[in-house]
Amino acid sequence: MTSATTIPTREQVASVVRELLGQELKIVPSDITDDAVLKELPGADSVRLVRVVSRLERHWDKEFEDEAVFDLRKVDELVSLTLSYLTDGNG
Amino acid sequence: MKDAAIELPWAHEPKFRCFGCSPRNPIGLALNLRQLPSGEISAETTFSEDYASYPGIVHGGIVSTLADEVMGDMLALRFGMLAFSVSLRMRMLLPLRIGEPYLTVARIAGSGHGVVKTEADITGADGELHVTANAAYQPIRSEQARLLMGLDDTEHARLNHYFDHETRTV
Repeated sequence: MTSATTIPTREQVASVVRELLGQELKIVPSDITDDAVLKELPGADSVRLVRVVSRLERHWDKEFEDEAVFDLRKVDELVSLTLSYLTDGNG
Repeated sequence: MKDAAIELPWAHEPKFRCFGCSPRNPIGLALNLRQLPSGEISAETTFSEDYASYPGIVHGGIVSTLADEVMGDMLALRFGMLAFSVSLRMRMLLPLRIGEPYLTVARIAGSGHGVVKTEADITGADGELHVTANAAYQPIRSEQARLLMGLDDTEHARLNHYFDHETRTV
């Protein structure tokens, strides 16, 4: 768990999102583009993507709403969702 | 290195009938706990059909109980702290199947604001992650224990060291 005392930048959040997606899907993080569709990433399925969300929640000690998680389509949307919890005091 | 099996220090308490860890509760899980070299607490579990929901699938409420129990026992075993769970959040990634072995591992995730935060993962024999759990626990106060558990003076004195813990020491 990492409790952020300062709000991370979008680039920092995107870097963690790519890193965790890369670890879970066994792909190179730098190959993951912002507009990539999550379910179309190599090796992706709904279970693996929820697992990434779970790791993001633990990383920042936040709880994401299920509805928001299951509405996600693209990598950039996952970054935005994560950032919203870190900047708006959600979760 | 073989993980160290744990004998529960409270196993012989007369009133001890915990659904999760007491060997004397005939309908309970009777978990056997182990301490991993990392300090994490684990339990290996294989559920029978007595714990089914859909045919062949372990009931989700039982899975939640398993995670809650291992996390709560971790606090008691590592810190001598009895605590109530005040929140429990599960992410059910894959169902658990009847008759197959699973490993639950619990660890501390942080503390503050009067609670201890914990995590637990439940994995299958193939190493696949089935469940993640996050919880917050609030230490039980001595007088709270006396009232809620119906402890007499002797029991209260014997068990008092488990109560009134500060979360900042975790």
